[in-house]
Amino acid sequence: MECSVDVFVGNTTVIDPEIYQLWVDGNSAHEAADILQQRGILQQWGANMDLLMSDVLDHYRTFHMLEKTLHTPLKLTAAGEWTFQIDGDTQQMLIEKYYELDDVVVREVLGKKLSSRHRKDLDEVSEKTAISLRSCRRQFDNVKRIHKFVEELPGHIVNNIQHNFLLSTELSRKYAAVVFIAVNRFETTKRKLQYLNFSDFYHCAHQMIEHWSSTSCHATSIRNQPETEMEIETDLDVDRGFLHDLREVRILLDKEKELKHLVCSQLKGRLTDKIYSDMESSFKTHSRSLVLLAGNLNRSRELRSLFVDLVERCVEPLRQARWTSRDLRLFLDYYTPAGVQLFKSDSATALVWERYMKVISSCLVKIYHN
Amino acid sequence: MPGKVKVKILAGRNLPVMDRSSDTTDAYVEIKLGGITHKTDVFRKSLNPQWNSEWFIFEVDDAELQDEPLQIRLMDYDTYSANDAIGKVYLDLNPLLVTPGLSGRGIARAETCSVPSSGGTVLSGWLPVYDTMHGMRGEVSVIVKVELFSDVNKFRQSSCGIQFFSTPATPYGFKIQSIQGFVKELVVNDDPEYQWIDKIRTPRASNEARQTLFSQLSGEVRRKIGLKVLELGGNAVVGYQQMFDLEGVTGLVVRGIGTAVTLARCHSDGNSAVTWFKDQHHGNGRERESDRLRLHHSEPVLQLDDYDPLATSSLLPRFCRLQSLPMHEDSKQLPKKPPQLHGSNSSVKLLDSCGVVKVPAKRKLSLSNLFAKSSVKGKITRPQAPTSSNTLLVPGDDETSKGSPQTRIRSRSLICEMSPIQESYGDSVTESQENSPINKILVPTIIQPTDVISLPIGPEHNLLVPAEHFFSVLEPQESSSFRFQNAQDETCSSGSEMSLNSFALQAKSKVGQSFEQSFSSLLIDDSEDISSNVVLNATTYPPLPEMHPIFPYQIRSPRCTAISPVDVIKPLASTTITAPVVVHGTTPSRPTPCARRSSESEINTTPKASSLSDSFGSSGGGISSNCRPAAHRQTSVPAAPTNTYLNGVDVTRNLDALEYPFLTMKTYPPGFIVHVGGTVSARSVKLLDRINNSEEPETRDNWWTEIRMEVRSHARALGCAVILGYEEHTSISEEVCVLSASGTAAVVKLQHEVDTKDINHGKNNAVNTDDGKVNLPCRVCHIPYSKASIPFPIKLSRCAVCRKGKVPDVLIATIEPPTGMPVSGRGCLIQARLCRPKRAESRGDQQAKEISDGLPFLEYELHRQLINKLRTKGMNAIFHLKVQVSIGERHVVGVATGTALFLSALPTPSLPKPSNPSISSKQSKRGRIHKLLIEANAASQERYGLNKQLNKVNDVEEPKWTDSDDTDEDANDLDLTAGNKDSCVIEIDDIEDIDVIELLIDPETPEGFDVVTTETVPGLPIDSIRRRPNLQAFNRVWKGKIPTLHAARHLNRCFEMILRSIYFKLRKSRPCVITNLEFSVDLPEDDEIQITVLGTAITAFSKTTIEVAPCIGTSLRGVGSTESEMIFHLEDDVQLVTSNEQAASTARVNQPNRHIPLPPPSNQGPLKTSVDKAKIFVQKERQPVDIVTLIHLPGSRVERYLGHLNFFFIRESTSIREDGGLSGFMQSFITEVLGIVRAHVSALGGNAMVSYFMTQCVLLHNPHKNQGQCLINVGGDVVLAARCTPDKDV
Repeated sequence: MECSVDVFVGNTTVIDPEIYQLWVDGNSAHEAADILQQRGILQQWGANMDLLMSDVLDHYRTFHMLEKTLHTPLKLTAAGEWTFQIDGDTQQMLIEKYYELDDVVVREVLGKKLSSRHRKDLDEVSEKTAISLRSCRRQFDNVKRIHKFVEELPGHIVNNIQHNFLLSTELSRKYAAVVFIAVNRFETTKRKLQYLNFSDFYHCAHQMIEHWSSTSCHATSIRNQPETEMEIETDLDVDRGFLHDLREVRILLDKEKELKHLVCSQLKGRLTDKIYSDMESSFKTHSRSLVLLAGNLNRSRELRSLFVDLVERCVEPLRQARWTSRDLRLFLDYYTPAGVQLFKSDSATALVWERYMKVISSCLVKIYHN
Repeated sequence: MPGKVKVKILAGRNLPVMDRSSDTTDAYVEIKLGGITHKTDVFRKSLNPQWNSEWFIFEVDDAELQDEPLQIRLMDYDTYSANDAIGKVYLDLNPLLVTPGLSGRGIARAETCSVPSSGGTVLSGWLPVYDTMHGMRGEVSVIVKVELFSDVNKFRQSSCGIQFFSTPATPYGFKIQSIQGFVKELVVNDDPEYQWIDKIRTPRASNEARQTLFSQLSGEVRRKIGLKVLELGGNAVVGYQQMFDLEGVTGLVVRGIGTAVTLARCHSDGNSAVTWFKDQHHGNGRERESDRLRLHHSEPVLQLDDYDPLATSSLLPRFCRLQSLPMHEDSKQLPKKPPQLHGSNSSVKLLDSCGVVKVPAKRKLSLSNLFAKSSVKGKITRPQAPTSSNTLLVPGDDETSKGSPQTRIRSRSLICEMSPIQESYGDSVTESQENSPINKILVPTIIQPTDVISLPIGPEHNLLVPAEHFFSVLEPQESSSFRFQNAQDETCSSGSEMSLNSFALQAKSKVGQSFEQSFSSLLIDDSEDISSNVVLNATTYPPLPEMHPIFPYQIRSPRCTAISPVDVIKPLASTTITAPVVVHGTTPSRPTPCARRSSESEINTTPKASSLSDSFGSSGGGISSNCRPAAHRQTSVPAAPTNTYLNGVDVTRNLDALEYPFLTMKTYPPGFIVHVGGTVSARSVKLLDRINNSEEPETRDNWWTEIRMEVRSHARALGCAVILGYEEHTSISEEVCVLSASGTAAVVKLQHEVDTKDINHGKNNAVNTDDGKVNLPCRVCHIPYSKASIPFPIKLSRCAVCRKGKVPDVLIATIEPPTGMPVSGRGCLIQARLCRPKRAESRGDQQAKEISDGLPFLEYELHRQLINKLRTKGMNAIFHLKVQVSIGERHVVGVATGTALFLSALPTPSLPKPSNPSISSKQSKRGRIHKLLIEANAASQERYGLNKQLNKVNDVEEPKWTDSDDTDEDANDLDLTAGNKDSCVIEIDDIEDIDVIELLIDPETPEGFDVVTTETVPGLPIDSIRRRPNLQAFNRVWKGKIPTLHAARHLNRCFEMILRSIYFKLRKSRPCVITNLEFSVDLPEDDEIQITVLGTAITAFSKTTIEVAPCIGTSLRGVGSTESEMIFHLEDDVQLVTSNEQAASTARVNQPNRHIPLPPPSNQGPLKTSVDKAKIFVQKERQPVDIVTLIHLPGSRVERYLGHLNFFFIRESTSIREDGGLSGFMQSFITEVLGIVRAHVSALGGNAMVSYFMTQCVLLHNPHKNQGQCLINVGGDVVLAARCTPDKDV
């Protein structure tokens, strides 16, 4: 029926989770109505398409109004405006769904500068991921918004996101990873890295946030930095002092033989013969790449290309040698303590090595797949 | 002088960016009240400014307090250019004026004792900042306090303390001690939108000017009504309705109607009265006592007597009228206590006699006998001293005071003191005569003295005061003495004024064969604008014989002829009121027979005048403490037809004796309604003319008076003295305006009066007495008139419940179904819609005439449709009926919406039977239709449980029925062959009729929904919605095209669609009860129709969800632990303190009741937890504010009423397309409006709004300019409610 105004406004804002999901997914009102129709909603409620359309449009308008508020979720809840009256559970649902991330999309966004130039390229992302453009844009904007908001905030990034955007821990961690990678400008887009998915980066980022950042538990271990300085630190930055200290581990290059001996003696019998012999023969290469990587990380260019380096120097050679990821884990499990053992005279460096290897081992194992 | 408003601006948040370059705002705040403006400092570069200002103090007159909204305007400071407005907050201060400490006569007094809360006087919270061009723009945190000094000025203009309720029932926790009756007020102004200045100012300025004006006028109307209530001795207005008539170029009319009552707290009322009494009697001396009484319980009394100082004093030199305002409310409740203690007092009113009198030669004196202990008796002769105003003070020493204004009442300490200012006013006015501007300003106020008793006044203009009158008011037995026999009261009071307003009502009636032929009355305002003020009140009744039986009541009495043409729902009555043509000269010295202001109308045809005057002197108080002396009417209207007074009416003589025995409430205490007569209504078509003198809106007044008179006469014709559920509406299109008034004629009873009544009224009220004794639940349905006196064919039958009374076959009423009335099955929505085309080209008179001519047909059709639908549903009664007639350019639309139900007392309706006498070939078709009807009927019976109930009733009742000695009753039952009297025969002559039949069968309401227009679903067990239900007031606005072709069918489809879309929308909350559904229709443009639906959806928890229900409370709050904690600490400190207080009070309220403590207002701070951790949930989130259109909150209990809110918003946009089209614009507007309402509710310390209304929703659209504008009027009663704990229900 032709009409110019057709609205329904309740005192409690009416939210239909099903339609909301369709909206979040980037469907237009007509698409949403079609989808609902296919789901049999009309038969279920004895309605016709007009009614459905009117209802969907009504919801869409509500969502449209809500969207502004969703950009600053705090406004939606207790301290928020009076405009919408929505119960707590629904608020939570609204926010969570709005900030939902598709891993495939995030993977595409990852490492790119969050500028409007890239926003324009989202149609390619959409094409590639088969996620609707609207949804891609929403995710891009969300990442950008959160990035902008948390970038400068001191403290734990996950907590910051969680408190300011009221997201679940899981979702906050995703954003934290994205933000961390963006802030440290890690190279993620190289062709060689294409095989890595978001969960790989997610894992690595959180390993780094946990162990390498200024606020991580190891931070004060070496240099006694003044407390005040600590306070303004955020776990978004990799601990500069730590990176600086990492240069010390180059000593291992000189102690290569001992290292190899230690590792090999431990690993003997635990690896298959074929792998063991490969490890024995190319131990120098493997070890060198790990130690050199550590030694150079204090250069920010090196840090940025961490993933590329890991893949190029570690993953690819090992893959060629047909190591399994179990082999790799075993190797790393013994390689790290061996290094620690060699630093026994210098416990500080031993700690640094351990802190370094903890993250690297974990990351390597994670990204060692096809 | 008596008000001090303190305002503190704490902070703002989420303000819009006003400075693009820095992405911030340099905000400051202007606070304006009346003519005074204060400013805060500029808070630079922040979207969340913290002003934390000092207290801004406004010292204002209380009249101003009531009229003027507090305007808080946020501004953005610009160094180089003009400062930009961010937005505004309008704060209605009225809720803050009804302070527990100062409120009228004992409302909330008891409560104050137990809950010394500051909630009433302080408003604090975050209020949305609203801009008419941009919508919501952030929020501002304010604290507003009002300190009222007790105003002891008797002549003041304000009425603080009178509480307003839009709730059309007794507010929860109160009882009505007495009903003072109908109060009304009407204020006229120019609409700023149509003033020349509007052409040069910005849309924002224009919108704001309008919003401010609306706010002021709304306050003014309330203040003036409050004054009337004070005058009548009441302390509250219930069922208050306020309407804005946007007449366009001719101006703006704000109308308010309501019912003045004296409310008392339910529980502690008796006690307080006792204390008072003791106070009195153990005092030292009488004088002492009365003073003390004043001091302790002063306000009510004061207010009662207070009068607009300006108005009064200006009138002093002219006429003063003596009045008394006895109040007996207590005598009813506490017969053993001196009734007068509360507020009984007869006071002197200096009544204006309308200021137009040129020769102030003759005067009347005003007397006041406030707590007079010594009797005053005697004559007071007024010398003709033009310079002096005088008041006669009854009490004590200065019984006769005259001369200078300074002699005015001194003795009674505070009460009668007048400020010098007022006195000087009096003088100045005297000199300047009525032409002075002051005088003009006052005129609207003057309308008030409507329902006041006037004392007799001798021809020599002496005052003759019956001695008893002044006897101590403290003595109970004297309570009746407030009635005075009156001779020609008000003698010469409004001589010339009358002449202005008097009009001739010419009535001619032709009586056709079985119907009234065209009947028109011409109203001529003899002073001005004769030509423009043509009243077309004409109607033609077609001979519609089959329509007779459907009208339960028709009275054709030879004695009285009535103006009832326009009313179809009610009888084809043939009564005509012939009003005398009263043209007064300008000589005031000649006592005119009709001395009242014309706003009260001269056509006071009070048919029962004689009987009234008989019993008048001895009447014992009753409902109204101020009956209008009927005798005077008798004299003033010599031509008045005599007694059409039927049995049973005596019961209510007091109410009846009111000029307007109208009550605007829809729900009444059990036992109040004795009989329901039926719906009465009247319509009138008027041509809008320029209101020349907006201070004296006489034409508008007259229009309404006329209509009210008509409604009253209809009710009388039904043998009913009182009209319940009274409503007034207008529909305006161009220059034509249709006024409608409707209500339910009824016979009511005041419990305490039964005895006296029965003694008094002999045989006439045989039925009444009979029933009164038996007190049958079905009595309400019995006809209020005697069977013998019905001259028209109406089908009456024996009541199916008691077998004694007579009942009509169909009962239609505008009120809620009275409690205890036996109902079978459940009720359901019933709606009749009709659309008639109109010739678009006609203008002015022509158009008015056309509409007027068409109205009866429209109403008849509407009624026929309604009745047939009702029968198809197998039901026999309609309650809460609302009939709306809307006129537009091309169409006239009528919509009648009500709740159909089956009254056990009434006979089972017969199914409509299609008949097609002329064309036999269509037999098959007829058969098909018949089949359809039968099916629909069966479905309905099944759906609403009529079947079961019916059988049951029949089983039980059948034997009795046959036993009945009155066998001819049975024969009466159903006789389809009896000719065309039966409405249930539908003639099918042409295609259109077939349409009509198809319209009869409503599509079924989907399973799981119950839809009604009443408060609750009749017949639905209450427990089904007792459990913490989800409440959802909703606004549905639909606007679309209506084609000229098949308009009726299209209209029908629109309504169906709208209903179905509501069901569809609420599909996920089934099972669901939709209550109080209200439709309103506007025809804004040529072919456009706008339908606005308002209702409350109550999601009833079914058995399966019961277990879940208890969790709801916690789940609402228990979300997100850490983040909410955080949010929490963001709260402002000051806020916390106040909310803490509120929390404390709430806790106290709640504890004894074992309720979950209430959501005291918004922003609950952590401090709250320290108050009572065990009892109070930690409020981590903002407590939701419930809004319902109902008078109660299902699942909750109303603890306190915190005031009446009435908002008027305008929103304009020049980017409609970008805003998501007109729908997007409307949706965001309504959403924001609801948000603002919630914020105000919360700031007042409430957590819910009941009786929510949206009376105006005017949407204008200009697609070419991409521009749109919308006006909305919303409001309701703010309450603090305690939600029932789930375990309590389990």
